[in-house]
Amino acid sequence: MFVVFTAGIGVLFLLGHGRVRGTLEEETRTNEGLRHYLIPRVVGQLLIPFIILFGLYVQFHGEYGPGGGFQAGAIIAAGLILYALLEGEKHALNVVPQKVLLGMMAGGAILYTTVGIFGMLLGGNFLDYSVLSDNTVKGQQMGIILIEAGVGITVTGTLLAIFHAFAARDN
Amino acid sequence: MDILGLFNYWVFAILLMIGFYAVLAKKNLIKKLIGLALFQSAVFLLYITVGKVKGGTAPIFSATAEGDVFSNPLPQVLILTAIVVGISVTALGLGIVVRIREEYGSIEEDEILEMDRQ
Amino acid sequence: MTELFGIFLLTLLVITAIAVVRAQNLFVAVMLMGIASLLIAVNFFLLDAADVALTEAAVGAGISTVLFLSALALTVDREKAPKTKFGLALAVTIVACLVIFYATLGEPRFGDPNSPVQLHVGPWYLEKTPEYVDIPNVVTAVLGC
Repeated sequence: MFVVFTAGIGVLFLLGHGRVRGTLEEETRTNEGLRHYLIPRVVGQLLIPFIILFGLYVQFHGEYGPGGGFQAGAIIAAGLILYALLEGEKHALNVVPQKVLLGMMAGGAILYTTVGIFGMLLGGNFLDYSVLSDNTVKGQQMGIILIEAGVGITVTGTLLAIFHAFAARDN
Repeated sequence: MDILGLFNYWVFAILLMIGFYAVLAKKNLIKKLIGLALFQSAVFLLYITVGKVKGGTAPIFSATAEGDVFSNPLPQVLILTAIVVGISVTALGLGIVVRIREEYGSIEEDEILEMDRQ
Repeated sequence: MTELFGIFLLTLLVITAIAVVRAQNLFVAVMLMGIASLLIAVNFFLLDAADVALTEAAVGAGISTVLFLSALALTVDREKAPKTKFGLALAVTIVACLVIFYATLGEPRFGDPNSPVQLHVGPWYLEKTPEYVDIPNVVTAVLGC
């Protein structure tokens, strides 16, 4: 999980937050997205809520079936990338700003580390979930739910930040 | 000769060599990254093939499947982490390729080496 | 029946991989990589790995394709023609492939329940998981702790 975080930081170092835009004509051309094409817009508006809903389903049912943090992060990031491709880069950055993306990247990693250190403070080893609650099994389950949530948030934020770093670059 | 039992391993070998050839012999940098992604997929195929038990199901307990034989869950955990590492490496590699293009003006390997020697 | 389907999919995968390496238009190569990722994901599902199949489909056919396409938009989209036809690289590759073929003759057969992989640690995880962590999905439980 920290691998994805490191890769996101690396790409943001290499490509920056996006350069200064060119003339006004260039800006409108690249910010339109696929607005003029009706079919992708309509299909996208129908599909994107379902994609995000499916991503949340996969995240929370990670214990009962296939799923978990990584998969959910990738699916939600794919839905938001579809929105950015259809509506144009500027609107997508209004919906989820750069600061929120950086907050998501760091917040998931902080949640993961906090759960680990919390276990250490209560007397076990690092990332030992048995001491989180009085019943050992319940402690393990609570620990796993929190960890998967942290992983999902980090992966979503990182993949979206990498995409915006590529797409906001002027040629 | 037990061909059906060994087919997966042969496909793994062929995919490995195709990806390896793409990394060695192609000059375009993006083609090399695509070859690396193929190479990684071949290794994942090998691990998951080794972990399968004949007649087993996915390693998820459910109320209906009580006395079933399950496939081994350990290789799947390793491969899950390996897939995420793979896309991180790909994303970082593509960032470096974009920067090389901006600095040198081309992404063919021999042209870049020529420019470096001058 | 399922095995025949698996063999068919793997043959398609090899053909797609050869087409990816030989394509000169890089856009075509990226699209074929998306198809190859999807074929591998279906194959993982046939090999009883549900989590890995979901991850490979979401990541390989979704995120990876988008990243490659956005990098292609910022660089060239055509590869220069290769100069030499048969070189040292192809010969080395074919020799290494034959060596690996010979090495796989000693591997345990596909789906053998008595192979060394299945005997040591795997059954321990499958038995102890309902006792320590009461979660049905074993892969998530092993990943978490």
